[in-house]
Amino acid sequence: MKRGAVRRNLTAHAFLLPFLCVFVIGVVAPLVYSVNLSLYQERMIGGRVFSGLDNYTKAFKDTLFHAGLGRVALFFAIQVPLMLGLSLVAALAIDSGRLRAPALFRIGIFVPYAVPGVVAALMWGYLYGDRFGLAGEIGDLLHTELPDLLSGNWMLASIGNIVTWSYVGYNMLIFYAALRSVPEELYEAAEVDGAGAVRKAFSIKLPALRPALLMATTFSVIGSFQLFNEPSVLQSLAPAAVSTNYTPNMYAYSLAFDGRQFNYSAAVAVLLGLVTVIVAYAVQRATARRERML
Amino acid sequence: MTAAPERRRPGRSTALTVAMGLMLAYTLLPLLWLAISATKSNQTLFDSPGL
Repeated sequence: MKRGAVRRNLTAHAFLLPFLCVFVIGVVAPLVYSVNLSLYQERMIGGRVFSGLDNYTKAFKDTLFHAGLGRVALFFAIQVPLMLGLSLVAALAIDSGRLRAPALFRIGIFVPYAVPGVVAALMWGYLYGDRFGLAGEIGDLLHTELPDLLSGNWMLASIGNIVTWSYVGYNMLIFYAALRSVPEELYEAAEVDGAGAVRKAFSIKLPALRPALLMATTFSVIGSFQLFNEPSVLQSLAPAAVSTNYTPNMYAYSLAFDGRQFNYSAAVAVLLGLVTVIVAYAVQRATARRERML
Repeated sequence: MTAAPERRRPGRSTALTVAMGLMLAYTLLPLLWLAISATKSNQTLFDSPGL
C-alpha cells in the first residue's frame, strides 16, 4: 500500500520534471542572475565589487526612472479602463444574441491580436504620419490640420490607441468565454422571477464576469508597466517625442545596451518587476475586498 | 425542451449591429490600409489615396 503511494508520487514528479526543467532554465535562472547582477558595481578602480543595495537606493532616487514609472501609471489609469470597457461592451453585445452575424464580429474584433506587436506599432506609426498616413488624409478631407499624433503631447494617447487596438479583441474573448459558461437555466430562473434584460446583466452577467475581469486587469497591469514594443518602435519615427527613459523598461534597455551599465540596469529591472507585482497584488486585494462586501 | 431556447431568443437589433459595426471598422480598417499600401510602390504611396 505504502509502496504503491511512493511509486505514484514518483510518477507524478516524473511528469512534473519537464515543466520544472524549463521553468528553472527560463524563469528562475535569469531572475537569480539579474538579482545577482544588481548587487554589484563596475568601478574604474577595483573592477567588479559587491555593493549591496547601492544600485537600488540609486534607482529609488533616479528622477529618470520616476518619470517613466509615472508615465506608465498614467497609461494604466486611463488606457486600461477604456480598453476593458470596450471589450466588455463588445462581449455583452455578442453574447446578447441581438447582433446580426455575431461570428463575424467575434472574429473581426479578435483579428488585431493576431498581428505581431511590432508590426501593429509600425502600421499605426505610418497611419499617424501626416505625409502618407490616414491622419493626413482625413485632415485634408476636413480641410483642417489634425494635431500631430506623433508629437510629444499626443504620444501617450497614440500608444494607448495602438495597445487598445491590439488587445481589445483578446480581452473581449476572455469575457465572452466567461459569459458563455453561464448556464442557460440561470437566465430562465431569473426570467421566471421577473427579471428584465438590465436586471439579468447586473445580477447574473456581471458577477459571472468578475473572475475574468480580475484576470484581464492583472494581465493589463503587467502589460502597462512593462510597456516597451510600441514606444520603442515609435521612437524611430519620432525621436523627439519618445525619450530613452519613456517607460521603465525602455530605460532599463537603454541603460544596458547604450550605457553599458548592466548592473544598474538589472537593479532598475528588478525594481520594476517588484512594482508590477505590488500593483497587481493591490488590484487583486481591492477586488477581493469588494467581493466580501457584496 | 427544444422549443424553450427558441422562445427566449430576443429580436435582432439594427442599432446594436450598427454600433458594433463601428468597432469592427476600428479593428479592420487599419489592416485594410496596410494590405492596400503593401501593393504600392514608394511613389504611389505619396500620390494615391490611402483607402
